[in-house]
Amino acid sequence: MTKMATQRRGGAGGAEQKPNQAVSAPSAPPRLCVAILLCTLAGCAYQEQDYSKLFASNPRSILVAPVRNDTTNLDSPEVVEAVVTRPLAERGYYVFPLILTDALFKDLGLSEAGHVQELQPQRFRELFGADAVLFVVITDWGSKYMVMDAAVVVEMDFTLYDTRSGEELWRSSQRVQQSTGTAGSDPIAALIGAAIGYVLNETFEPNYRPLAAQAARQAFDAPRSGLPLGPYSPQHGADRAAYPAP
Amino acid sequence: MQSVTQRRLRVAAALAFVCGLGACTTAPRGLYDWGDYEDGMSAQLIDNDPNAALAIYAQTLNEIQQRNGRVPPGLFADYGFLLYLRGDYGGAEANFTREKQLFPEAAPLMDKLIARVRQRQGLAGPPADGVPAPTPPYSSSDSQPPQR
Repeated sequence: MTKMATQRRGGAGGAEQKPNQAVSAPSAPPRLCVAILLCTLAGCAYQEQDYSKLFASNPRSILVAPVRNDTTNLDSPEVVEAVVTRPLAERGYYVFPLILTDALFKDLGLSEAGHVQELQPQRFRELFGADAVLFVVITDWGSKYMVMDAAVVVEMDFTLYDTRSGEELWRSSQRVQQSTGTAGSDPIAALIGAAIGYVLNETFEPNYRPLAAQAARQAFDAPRSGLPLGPYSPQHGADRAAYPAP
Repeated sequence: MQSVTQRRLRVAAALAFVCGLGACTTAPRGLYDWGDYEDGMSAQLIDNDPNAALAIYAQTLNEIQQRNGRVPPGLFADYGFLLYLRGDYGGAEANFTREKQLFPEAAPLMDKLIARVRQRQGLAGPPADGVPAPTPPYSSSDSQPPQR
């Protein structure tokens, strides 16, 4: 069995508290710390951002720049590039063809994603006629082994820039983790499961594509923190109230 | 009094209902018919296999047409580019044109590419600025510093 864990890790899964002890002085400070920590974690996961620039820019087309890879896994950028188009286009935006733009960047001598992401956003309007450019940076990618469990992790940052003003319009960070599914069960079985998972992962490369796709969907579809529906969606413009824009 | 099979049927129906609901929430009715578009992209981007990508794109476009589905953004353009790599300039131009007819946002880029394709064919048309001709094999040297 496998299970997905998303970014919202700072939930209500903390230690049980007995209500009467809440007022006793010695235990109060640590509990306060825990409460603050939980709030902070929750705050991280629930990024409130100002959508007024995005609404003002109202982009119709988005160019996905070659994905920058900050990890040591060599195949990860292409895996991500192949799964970003669909969820983005399904939000109602025109997404530029990835095979074509990838080849054009190489032709421009920009085969390094890091170099492409150093370009001024305005360049993407000159070159492709894009209204906005999406920079994706992979910040974590791989298998993690813990005492009782093993997990496959994909983590990335998404940033959208206006190609007229060069300003940042939107950003999101997503982490998707798929455990090999042994935590919470019988500890001995969990230990064996983790060992088997380790051996299997040593032999077979885990399939990252569904995780990368989920990270992208989470980023774009998230209520209040995702991307508002674009011009090809029948509900374009009708969902503005669902995004914070003071 | 219920028989065991009846009860099982009920459980099965309830499960089917819940699964159906789950499907509703995770996959709302999409804007486009994607077919194997993503597999085609992977074939080129990950496996570096333009022939496989071309075959997948051709089949996907065929199937979408049969289903009367909506062609997603980029599919015609990428297909046209793969035809271009093969030297099928007529096919390339036809697909670049379909892309911009379907999505006017693509017009600036498609027009530049069409101009280049025509140049290659030895036809008229002034050279387009900005986007260089996609000349395979790519001269992907890292010598050029990033432009700021």
